[in-house]
Amino acid sequence: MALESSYAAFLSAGGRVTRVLSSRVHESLSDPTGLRKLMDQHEWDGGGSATSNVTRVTRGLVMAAATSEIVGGATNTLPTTTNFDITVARYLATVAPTDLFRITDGGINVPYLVGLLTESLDLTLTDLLTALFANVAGNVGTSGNDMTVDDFYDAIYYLNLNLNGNSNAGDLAAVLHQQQLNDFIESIRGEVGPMQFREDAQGLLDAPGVGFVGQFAKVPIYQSDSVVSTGADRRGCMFGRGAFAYKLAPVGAMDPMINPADILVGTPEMFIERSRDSANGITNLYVNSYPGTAEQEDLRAVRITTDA
Amino acid sequence: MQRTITLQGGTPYRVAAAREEDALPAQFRNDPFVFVHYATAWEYHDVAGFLPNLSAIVATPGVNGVGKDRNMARAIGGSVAKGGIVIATDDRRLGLWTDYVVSYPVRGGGKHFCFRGIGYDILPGGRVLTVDDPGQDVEFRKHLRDAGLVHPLGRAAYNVVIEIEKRGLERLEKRVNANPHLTDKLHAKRTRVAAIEQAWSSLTAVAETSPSEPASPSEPTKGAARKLRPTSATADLRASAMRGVLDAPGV
Repeated sequence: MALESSYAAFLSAGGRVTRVLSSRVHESLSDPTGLRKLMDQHEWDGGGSATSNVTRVTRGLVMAAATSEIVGGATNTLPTTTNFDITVARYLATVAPTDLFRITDGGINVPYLVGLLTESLDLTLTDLLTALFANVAGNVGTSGNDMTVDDFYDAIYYLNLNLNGNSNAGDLAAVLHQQQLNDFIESIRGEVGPMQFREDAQGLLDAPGVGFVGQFAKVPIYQSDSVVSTGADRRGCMFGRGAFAYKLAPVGAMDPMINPADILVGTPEMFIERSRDSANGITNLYVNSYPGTAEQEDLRAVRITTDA
Repeated sequence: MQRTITLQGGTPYRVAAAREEDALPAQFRNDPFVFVHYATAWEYHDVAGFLPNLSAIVATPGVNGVGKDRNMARAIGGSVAKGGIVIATDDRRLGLWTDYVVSYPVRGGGKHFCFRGIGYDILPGGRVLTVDDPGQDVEFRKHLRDAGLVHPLGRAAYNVVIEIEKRGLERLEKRVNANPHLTDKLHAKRTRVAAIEQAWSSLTAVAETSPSEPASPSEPTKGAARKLRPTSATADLRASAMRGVLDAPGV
């Protein structure tokens, strides 16, 4: 036998190629959790500085009893105010597809790269939120010890002592690192008494993954690998609405600085711009955004420090 | 015309050759930080006793006022305003712990910052294992406590610590009847709570026998909690009595 039209024969002679690029792309594990919704958004309210100063004021003025019917005796009340800063800083990412990359488009093509740039904003804001956790003054949990159900309740108690409500699901939220969540679930497994019959405790035993994982004691729990570690411990956080805030400088109107034809994606919060390097056959794609985050009120949050 | 190509010798094949890079993967890239201590952030360690629980200010641009140049002045100012003591990495009182924040290179540029006691093993397959020595963390915090680099342990902080521990003890006591396997855990917890109370008693006993009053009360030690001294309410009550308040039922 000879001269069969075999794959091997064509492979060596040139009628077949060793591999073809699959149209299907496998995306490796990553954490796509975006947590900006857990922060208050502050509008951009003026030029002149990258830093905005926000006034905090404490309400709750009560009247004092008059010393007598005809003598007032009242003293002036000065509302208690403090302030904090939100500074925006430039964040950017870039990809640089070449002409030949575009010509040989496969599963990963230029729109795919633009998609990566687009989703980078929420991931960046998540990092900027979790970076705030490390500096929260209140703390529950113990360095080097696994997270437990007790720690979770200690956090709720701490927040309740500071007047954070938990009447409605979502008044509080907890953001934990995956190791903290694993330890927390392990602790739930050992719970007895009323806790073991709770539906939310049962639900968490399903060992969910990244992002929103369920709620426990009416507190929504989010898992994020962005939770900061400065050493052996992870610094997660439970917090009420208004604990943290973010601001995005408006970049929607960059005219006349950028040729509108070079803006691939333009929103008030970010823009993706094209910059052509004709000499080298490269098209640089840049995403620019100007976010800033800040802790608005320390007593609305409690750090959960446990073993990493 | 084709000609013969002879390949001989070859390069020795080493599986790990492509991975032998002394740098962490890109996802380890992070920002530098300094530790901060807040007055009530304390915990109890079975061997080292009361230890400060540390917060951190991370120099991430756009976070808590940190600018694009990673200037932490605003963030530090905000932290101090809410009662934090910032532990500068070059504070001489740190002694052997000076420069407690270290960095490791990250592939593709940038650095990974972490506490000095942390190391990493990069396995041939690229997986990274954290190698931490909890003893170093304990020694560091013990030094901060003993060198006076953090808030002193006050009654308010102690109350937070003991309240949490007692809550845990109470829960165990309630559960142990139906769960005899928790008996050992309960005993351990009781021992721990007793040890914490004993440690606090020893501390306060030392404080009572030593001249603790500062020479000038108007100049408190840096970072010390402000102590509010009680004022007798008798005068106020007497003034009220003139209006018949003391005669009211229940007073």
